[in-house]
Amino acid sequence: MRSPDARLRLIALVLALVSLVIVGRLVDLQVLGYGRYRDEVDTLVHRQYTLPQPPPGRVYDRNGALLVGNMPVYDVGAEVSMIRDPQAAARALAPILNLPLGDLLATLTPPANLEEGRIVWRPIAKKISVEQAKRLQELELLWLTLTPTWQRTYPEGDLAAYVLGFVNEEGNGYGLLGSQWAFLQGEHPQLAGDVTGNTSPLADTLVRTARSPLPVAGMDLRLTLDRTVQAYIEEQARLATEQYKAEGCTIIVMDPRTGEIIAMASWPKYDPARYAEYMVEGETTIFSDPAVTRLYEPGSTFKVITVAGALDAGLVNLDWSYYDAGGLEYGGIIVRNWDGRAYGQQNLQGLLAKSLNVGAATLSTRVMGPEVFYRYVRAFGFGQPTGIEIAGEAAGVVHLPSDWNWEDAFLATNAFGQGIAVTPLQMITAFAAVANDGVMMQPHLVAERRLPDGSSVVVPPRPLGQPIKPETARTLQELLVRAVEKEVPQAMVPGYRIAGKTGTAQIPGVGGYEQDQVIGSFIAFGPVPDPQVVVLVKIDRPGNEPWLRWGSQTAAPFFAQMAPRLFMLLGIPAAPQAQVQP
Amino acid sequence: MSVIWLQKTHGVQQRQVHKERTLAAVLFVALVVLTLLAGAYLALMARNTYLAQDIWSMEKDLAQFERANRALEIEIATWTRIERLQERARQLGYKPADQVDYMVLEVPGAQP
Repeated sequence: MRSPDARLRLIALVLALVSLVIVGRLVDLQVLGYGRYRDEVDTLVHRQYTLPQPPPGRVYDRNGALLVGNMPVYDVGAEVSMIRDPQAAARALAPILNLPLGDLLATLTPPANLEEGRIVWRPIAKKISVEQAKRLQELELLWLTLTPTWQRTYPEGDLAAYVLGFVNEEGNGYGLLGSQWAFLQGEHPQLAGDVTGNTSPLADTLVRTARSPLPVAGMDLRLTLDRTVQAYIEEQARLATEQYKAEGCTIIVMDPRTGEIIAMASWPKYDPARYAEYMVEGETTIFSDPAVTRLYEPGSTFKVITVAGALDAGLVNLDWSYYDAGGLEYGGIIVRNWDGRAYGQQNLQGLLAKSLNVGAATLSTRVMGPEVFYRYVRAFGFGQPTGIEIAGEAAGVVHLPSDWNWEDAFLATNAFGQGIAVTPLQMITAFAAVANDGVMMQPHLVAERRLPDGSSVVVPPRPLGQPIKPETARTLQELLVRAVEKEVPQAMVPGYRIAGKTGTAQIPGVGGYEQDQVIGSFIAFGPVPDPQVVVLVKIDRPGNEPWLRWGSQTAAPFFAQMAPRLFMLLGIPAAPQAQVQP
Repeated sequence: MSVIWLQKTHGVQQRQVHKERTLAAVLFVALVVLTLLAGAYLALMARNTYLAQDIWSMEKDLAQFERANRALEIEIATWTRIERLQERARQLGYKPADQVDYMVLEVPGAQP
């Protein structure tokens, strides 16, 4: 061993052996034991995690005023297995969370037979304010968890409550929010990766998955509603209810050229912020928007549809006339005029102006027949939902000759709006088609969808169809202007040529129609010949004197009362040259 | 030993030393290169992790600002709600007009 070569060989051998041991160990760790060690690591740090809850999309009115927003709040929880002194913890949290000390103590006390190493987490409070969360953070309690989340907030209070609606935590709900939840909810995926001790993703995990820790918010919606007009007509709906001692009132304002709903209100209304209280009391029917879910028999306003069909089919013209004997027998019933009178020789002008049931029934039974009549009823959208972005829209009830419960009398009564059930939105959409030269536009509330990346999609006006020809529509417009000017002057608005039709519908009850109970309505559009707005006023069960409950005595004058300011808010100037046509 | 033998063996030794030196130099250079590469890799990874942490931290700040922004938006909307504006107008002595007259003023030269 004295030879240098021998010593060198020995050193080389030792180094080789050490290297071999190290390499062997590395192979053992990296190759042979890879699976086992990977599993151990996964068990320790690889977890499912969720990014913070994304804010649902906001809702704005047509001018950008916030209608539904999100207030940042926090959910509070505690890993109670880590709490050493529950008494002190409860005393520290109770004044900040405004919770009873006893309840808090019970929540924060770990289970008596808690196994070593087992984690027990319990929720303490939901949706606390940012200020409360800051005070909790200042306590520096390691076992306390604060999860950022959002509280749906309605800055305008109960404005447009029926239209906006709400959704519960499962995403089920009412109104626009219920219908548009798929767009409004943000992306909240369950992800997996290496996490920190408090289940937040490691920065490395985020880099590898190319994933931002920011949650992807839901789409924002800009509506066609105008909050000023909405506030105005909500006030008017309340006034109408009080003025006529009615059970309720619905008013809709729509642009016939685009189908945009500018305002839609019903009275009485509810406060969406208090929905939990209504739920507890079982008053869930209060959440449905009466303008799109509550059916009613439209009464004489439906005569416009009957006349439109007869005119458009070429079966009658302005020279057509019939003899009004005050009654018409058809299908086992006798149709009578609203006042029981006979009006003698009448034309379309007289039929609409005097609102003659016998005339309407004559058109449907003697002139049109069921095939033509119901073709137009369907073309105007009755018996099917309009497709507006409100959850739970009703389709209405239209009996057809092929139905099992068909009665021949329906053909006569449907012509003047009895035995048929519609929603206020269906009626105003049909009138809007007459105002828009026969083109029926899709009624809609969403004007624009704004994506989280800043881009936006404008919802264009969409025609639903053309139930009548433009010339038919223009003829009808003139007939309806004259009907207002001659027979319902109380509905006229100085400076504007208004076309409209009143309706007084009986209310079906058990064994027939309710005595002295009616729904008075008036649907108008103007200014003719270039109508820019359609307005529906529907007053449910007016409680004033029975002989003053007709639509011409309630809804029509109320329209005239509210219209001037409405036109001003809509920016529709009066035409000084607008004259009453002879 | 003959002179020739010594010359031969000396020459062999010299060649071996030269080879060993070359080998040592190559190994040394390789070691240096490997060390540099490993160092660069580690520096890159450290920088990457640092930047990822930095980005995440900034994104978390952004999320906080976004939350604060939403809260401010609600506050502004609450202050400008119609009910509050009407109340303020009443406090200032305004009241709803009894009669509304919509007047269109024609301004010479203005586009309609």
